[in-house]
Amino acid sequence: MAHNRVMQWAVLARTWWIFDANQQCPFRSAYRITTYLQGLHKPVYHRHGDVGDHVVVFNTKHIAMRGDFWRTYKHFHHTRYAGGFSRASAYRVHEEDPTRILERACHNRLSGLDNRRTLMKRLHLFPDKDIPENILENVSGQIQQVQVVPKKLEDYTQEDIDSFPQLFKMPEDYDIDSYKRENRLEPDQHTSKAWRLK
Amino acid sequence: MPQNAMRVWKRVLQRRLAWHFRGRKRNCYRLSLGPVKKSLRFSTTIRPIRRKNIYHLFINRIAAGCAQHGIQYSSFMRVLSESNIMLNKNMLAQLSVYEPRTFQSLCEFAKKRHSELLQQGIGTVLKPTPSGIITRDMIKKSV
Repeated sequence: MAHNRVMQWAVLARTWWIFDANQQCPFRSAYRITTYLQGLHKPVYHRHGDVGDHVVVFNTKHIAMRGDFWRTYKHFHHTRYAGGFSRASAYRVHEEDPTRILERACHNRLSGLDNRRTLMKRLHLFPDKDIPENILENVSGQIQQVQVVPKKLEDYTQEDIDSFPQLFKMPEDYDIDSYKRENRLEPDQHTSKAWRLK
Repeated sequence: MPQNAMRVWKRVLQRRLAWHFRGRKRNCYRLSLGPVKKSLRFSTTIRPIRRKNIYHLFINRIAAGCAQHGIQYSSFMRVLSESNIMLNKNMLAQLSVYEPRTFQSLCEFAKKRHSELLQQGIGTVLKPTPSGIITRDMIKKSV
């Protein structure tokens, strides 16, 4: 096999990719992002070869979790002292640091690798659209989103909501306007007391 | 031939097996006895693991090559085997790295064939149930 026939020096270059995390599942996004971090998208991949790329992720503040995961998905921590265990729901972690959930998801996805720290250094997370110019100028490719960005209830006008055909009437004790309120009424029983909302 | 030739060769062999060690067990005969024995034992246990690693490496590389041309690894391999294209994983992985245009043509073929197979599958679903097969519904109707 002629090895000099195709010289693909660009394959060995470290390219920068961008990923829009707006309304994306963090776990499935992590699966796709870590593919690029490890270099699994290149045919020259080897576990001990340093062929991974940089990934810039923005809009991490606007990630979407399916089901009840904002409340039920937990982040754990132990200080290794007695009674040092604490845990926090995903929404609580997200309020503290909007990049944390996606970062942990990628970190967990790369578990068992010797070069996990190196790979994580190549992951650049930004909560908003604001990306520093020195990072944005390197970007040369876009990673496809894992799911279609859905239209939120807020995006519809009140006329559209009212004119939507109703098949049946809701019972009177049914809480229809719950989506208009902030979801802070019930204390989160699964979060450690130190992290719970006051 | 010196009188202690066998003894010398035995030591040379031992030394050859211990050349990659670190520290005094690399140079001292007595100290290398145990580690060499153990490393030979390890070498037997690593064989299936190495095979498995290489197997997964080939799969990763072929999958990466397939993804560049917009086809999944599983459908790619299935089409190749069903079309009687006898290329093993080793050769496909090498093609994806060193002969990207050859690999691309294979991918294009696989994509086309895969879509054909899909359409055939949809066609068989739409066809009426062939005679000679008795379903539960037929029995109920006759009774």
